Amino acid sequence: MNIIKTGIQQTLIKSSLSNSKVGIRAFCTHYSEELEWVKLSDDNKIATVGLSSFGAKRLGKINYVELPKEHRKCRSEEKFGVVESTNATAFGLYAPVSGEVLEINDKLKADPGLLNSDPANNWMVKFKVSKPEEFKKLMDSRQYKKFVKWYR
Amino acid sequence: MIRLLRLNKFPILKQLQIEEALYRAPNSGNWIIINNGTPEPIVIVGISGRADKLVNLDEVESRGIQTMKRFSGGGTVVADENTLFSSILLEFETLKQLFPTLSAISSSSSSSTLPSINDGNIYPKDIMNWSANSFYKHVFHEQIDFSLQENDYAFGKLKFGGNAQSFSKHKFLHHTSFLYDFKDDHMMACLKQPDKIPEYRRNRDHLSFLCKLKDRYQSKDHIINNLLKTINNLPTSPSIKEVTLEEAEQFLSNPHPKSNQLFDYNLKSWKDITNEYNPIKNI
Repeated sequence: MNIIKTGIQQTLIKSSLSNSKVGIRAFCTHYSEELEWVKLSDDNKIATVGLSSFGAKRLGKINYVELPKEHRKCRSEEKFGVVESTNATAFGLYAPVSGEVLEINDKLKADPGLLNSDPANNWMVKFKVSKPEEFKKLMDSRQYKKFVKWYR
Repeated sequence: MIRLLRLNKFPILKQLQIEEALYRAPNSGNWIIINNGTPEPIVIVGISGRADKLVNLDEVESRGIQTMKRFSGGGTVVADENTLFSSILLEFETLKQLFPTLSAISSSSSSSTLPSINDGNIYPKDIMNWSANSFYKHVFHEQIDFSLQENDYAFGKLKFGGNAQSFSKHKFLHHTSFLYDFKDDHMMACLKQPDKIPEYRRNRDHLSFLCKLKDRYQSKDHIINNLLKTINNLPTSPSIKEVTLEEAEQFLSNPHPKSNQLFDYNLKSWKDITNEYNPIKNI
């Protein structure tokens, strides 16, 4: 039996940036309207959130990242942090799904520019998801491409 | 429509609380806020500001001066009754209606001083350029050496206005502190040389880097009048409605994240602001 499902191969990838052993579904990246990417673990319990490349481009050179404390609970669309760019501009970070903060990427405090140089591989926050059904409200890649095209 | 709120010696701490409420409220509309001074001196740092790195905290505390962190980006200022505050909160759609002929120049060009809209997207640098070239250039039209130097308004290489911005999906806030006058002693004593300084500043200390509007304008009223004329002469002549403080304060009751904070000199940390705009909740 062909174990490779038509169209998509599911692969467990251990994040190279974390000691976390939670697998991340590589081909199911979704996006929020706040220009964040979101990946849900196979067991639907952990959401890893980062900044999309379009988001990083829009912000410009990022010189500051403020992330929430671990164990903080956030509702979907609740502001959980802020980034600042060298254009003296602050941007809010908003929880794409409801949950509890499990882990933050400490590297970003010392080197916020990682969000510009490699946004796809520098996650910001990992949430313990409390409402997995909210993941369905996020955009897939195709929808996100359309969204970005008309973004103001 | 653009709502115009004019304030006189209104505490900047409360003004920033109102601005945050307006900024975070969906459908709050477009606003311009002008405030002629804040009654007591206050140090204001940007959202990323480390108080201990930017402010001589012991000195500020001994002078009885508060230190606050505002919700927008940008640098540090010692503000007082001789600081003019001007804030522009616009929806991007409104900006495009007001300035439909802005050309599509790549906003990645650091040498570009023209306002631009790149493929329908507006970037922070675009707003900074627009504010200088399409708005404040007219306010300070008498000064041929008015320019935008990185994120500051300057005459030549002397800064007289500092800018800070906040961006969301549908709107932006661009606010400015203009130094009509300031106490030299406060600037030098209260503020440290920041780690990251604008390139054009080089290694100049505050007094060598800043200038005072009073050396070019006989009164603050002259500048405020220029500002009002510029607002009333915006392209496409949008309706400008002067509103009361109470109308702006209504937005404070919308639940919203509150990022403005005050520095607690005893605890040596930032704390949430508790005042009539954000009273302590009874448990």
